[in-house]
Amino acid sequence: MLIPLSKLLPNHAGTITEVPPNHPRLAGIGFTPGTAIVRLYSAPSGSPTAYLVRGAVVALRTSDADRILVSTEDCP
Amino acid sequence: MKRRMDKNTPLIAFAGNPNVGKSTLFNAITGMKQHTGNWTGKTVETAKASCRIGGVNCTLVDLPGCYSLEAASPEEENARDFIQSGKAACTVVVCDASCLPRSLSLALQILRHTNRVVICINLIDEAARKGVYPDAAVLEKALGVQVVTTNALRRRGLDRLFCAISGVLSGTFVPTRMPISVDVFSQAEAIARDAVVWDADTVSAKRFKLDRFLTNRFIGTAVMLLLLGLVFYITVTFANYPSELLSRLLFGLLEHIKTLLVSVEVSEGFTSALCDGMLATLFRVVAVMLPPMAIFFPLFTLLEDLGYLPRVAFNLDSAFCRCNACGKQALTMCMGLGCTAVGVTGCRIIETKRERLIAVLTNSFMPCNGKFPTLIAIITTFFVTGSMVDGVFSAVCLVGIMLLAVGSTFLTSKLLSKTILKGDSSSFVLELPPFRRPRVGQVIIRSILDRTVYVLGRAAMVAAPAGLAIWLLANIDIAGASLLAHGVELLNPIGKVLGLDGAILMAFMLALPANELMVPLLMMIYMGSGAMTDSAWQLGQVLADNGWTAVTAVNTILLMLFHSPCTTALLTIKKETGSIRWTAVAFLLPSALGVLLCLLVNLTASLFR
Repeated sequence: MLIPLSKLLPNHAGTITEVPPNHPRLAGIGFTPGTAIVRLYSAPSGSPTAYLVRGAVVALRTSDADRILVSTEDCP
Repeated sequence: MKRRMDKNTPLIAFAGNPNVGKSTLFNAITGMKQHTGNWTGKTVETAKASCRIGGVNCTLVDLPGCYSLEAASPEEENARDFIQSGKAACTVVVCDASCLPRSLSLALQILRHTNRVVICINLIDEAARKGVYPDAAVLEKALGVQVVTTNALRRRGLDRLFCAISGVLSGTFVPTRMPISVDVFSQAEAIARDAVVWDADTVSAKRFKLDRFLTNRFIGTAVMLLLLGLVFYITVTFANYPSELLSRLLFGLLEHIKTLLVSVEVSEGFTSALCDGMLATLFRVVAVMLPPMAIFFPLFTLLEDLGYLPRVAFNLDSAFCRCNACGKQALTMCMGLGCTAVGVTGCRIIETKRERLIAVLTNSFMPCNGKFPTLIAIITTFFVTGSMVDGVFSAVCLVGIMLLAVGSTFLTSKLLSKTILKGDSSSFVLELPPFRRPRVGQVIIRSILDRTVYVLGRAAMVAAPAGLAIWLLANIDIAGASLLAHGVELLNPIGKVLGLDGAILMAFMLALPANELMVPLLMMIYMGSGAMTDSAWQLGQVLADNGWTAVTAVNTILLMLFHSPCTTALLTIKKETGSIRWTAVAFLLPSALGVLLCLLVNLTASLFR
């Protein structure tokens, strides 16, 4: 099922299906459709959150994670 | 032995993702000691060096890291333009062995443009520790070019790298042109899957334990405050003794110079102008600034090398988000504690222009190493009661000052983002690199050298001329009093309105080149002497004699925090923003805030008189 990346549970994995267009930084750092992604930990206030993507740990703000869609088998 | 960097020597470009050890590799090969740091975006300029590879003199170019050829920042654009220009006779694509899919995406993009490429898989030891073993032979077959594995830190694999580069330069290695699909990311992932023995995408609880610890609400904040407090405390405590030592040494030297000049019958006026004016100021600035800078920045760089700093930006981002700024500003603020000019240069790590400007304009709110001696001097001499709580009181005051500085940075950032720098928070993408053991020796030596050169350069270019100018003002008499005294007289009315006096205002204006000159200037003006002297131990008495009240002290502290950046910082701001307009704003904004606060305090105090 498709959910926004921000709703992915901690330590759960998903596959990216949709990424906001016109964002060269996101694509370059590894957020592309078909990539596996795992949610790791968050900052004290909840944003940003660190994700494991293509072997690296990358942090995104919740507002940006809201706009990325992932497909996952786990239910939030 | 100097090697010639000819226009005709072949160019070898080092490209790759940020933070894969490109600069470490570059340094290992060329013997250059470039500033590296475990922080993506550290290399902001292109470094060049010459090296002899396989009997051929080559020019090596270290490009800033880029995630993809579709650049998202000016530094990445530089890298992309260089690669696409075809100037390089050979391009070495440095990859992170633990992060092959992403590194290979860039490699594939580069292979579209040229196949005079050598793939260098670095950080091979780190990958092995995680159980990841890339197979170079498999990668060679898949990519059609030479692949070598290296550990740049331990200088392993460099000879293989040289061999491969020679192969490309001489043409003895013939690359195979492999098809590159439009979707480089999927292709990279597929190639990496085939070439890597073990999959790194296993989330082991142990791997991120430290990170979870450091981003915990309480522990994370505590660690942050502790580390910063420690750096700060070490700087302030351990800088005192070297400062005194340097001071004695340099001023002893000055006495000898004076004696020498007198003995060859140089005019007294000239001797005084040169020694008491120019050289004294230069020596003073060096003695005051060199030790703290040489302690603060190496410590800060160690934290950077460790990889801790991105975690700070990570933790504080939401607070900055609420001011429509960026979490990385926390780091530029910390750098500003050492020196505003360095903090301003550090703002390059902020990608959005708008957020970068906010960070630049508010950087001077954080008291730098030049302001601390003055702040501490005023607190300890003026608010002293001779009782046991003095030490505690001073500490509390300093903490209060820091809170004020940080709070005003947040508020002003918010204000700026609502007025002249309007805009919403941009997308924020921050890579958190793994913790790496800092190369303590190299970092400390390099940083101390850097800082020494910087302080000496600034002393020569800014402090010496300023010293001369101040001497002239203090010693040229018109209508019975020095120009300086006239100036003070003129500024007195304005001073009174602000709860200060003309002398303090004059001292602020003349201390524009260097904040650390504030106390000596003040002493000089109050005591009516023709030169700045080191009689700081008399400070308390002199201030009392000149009618200082609590309000005067408070307002001086406020104005010390909030006034124009020093000339070095202003010049740096001009260089970084490229705009006179923004430099003017950087000059006016803190000054306006300082004046406003002084007026408020004075007004409030007068209600109680």
